[in-house]
Amino acid sequence: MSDADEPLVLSDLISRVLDKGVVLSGDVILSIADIDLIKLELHLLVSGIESALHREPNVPVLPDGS
Amino acid sequence: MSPTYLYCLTAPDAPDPPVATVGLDGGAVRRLASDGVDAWVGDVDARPVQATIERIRAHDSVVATALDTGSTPLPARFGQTFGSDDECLAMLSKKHSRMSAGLAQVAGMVEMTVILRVDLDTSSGTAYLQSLARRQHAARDVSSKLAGCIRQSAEKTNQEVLTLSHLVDRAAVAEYLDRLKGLEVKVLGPGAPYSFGPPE
Repeated sequence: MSDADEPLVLSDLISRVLDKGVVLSGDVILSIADIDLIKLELHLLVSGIESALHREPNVPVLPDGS
Repeated sequence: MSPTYLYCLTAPDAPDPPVATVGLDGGAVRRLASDGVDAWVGDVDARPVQATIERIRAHDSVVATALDTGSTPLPARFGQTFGSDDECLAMLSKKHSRMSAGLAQVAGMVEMTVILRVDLDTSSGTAYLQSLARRQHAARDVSSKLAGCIRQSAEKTNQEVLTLSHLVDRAAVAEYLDRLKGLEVKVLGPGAPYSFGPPE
């Protein structure tokens, strides 16, 4: 893997783990606190949250530390 | 009692988590057995679990360990916690038939990913549409090369990046990689089938 691909691979990992995979609990809580993560690929993150909200409209997205 | 964090679901005949498996925040990973669908879980200090790159990597690493046992798991989405093991088992039991069908669907399979990156030319409307067409053409090229080699596929676009996910028989991975040789694409995998769980 070339270094230039590293952000691509990391973005793929993040969108996969946050946005895909089976949901067992009705309360998937995505609480995004880490600033590095937000810096990294905000649009991917937002699409992940939107997707979660779309599927589970009543999901609380809690602010930091609640 | 510590909350229970869910990593993935596995078939009842799948191996246990290796003792050395490390989960979120360095925690141990154990198996919860239920009727027909088992779960790999660990303890966490508190709910909710906040997403950090490190934790996302840890979650994925546990799922990859499950895949490496030779029995394909259903990966769980990040961030699912339960008040106790019993609560987790109760939810599992509620969704048992769907999860069991999902596990059967991915048995013997892995997920491969092709990432296509075509710079979108925004200098004019025509140029933009042409670059979109180039990307679609490249995606079709990949799909036709892989014909007969994949069980299921899923497509996702995010700005200039188009991601194709494929469910592939473990035995067909070498051929899959072989067929993509020479194409200007990034191939990831084999990985766990995040994109091919049971329908929600």
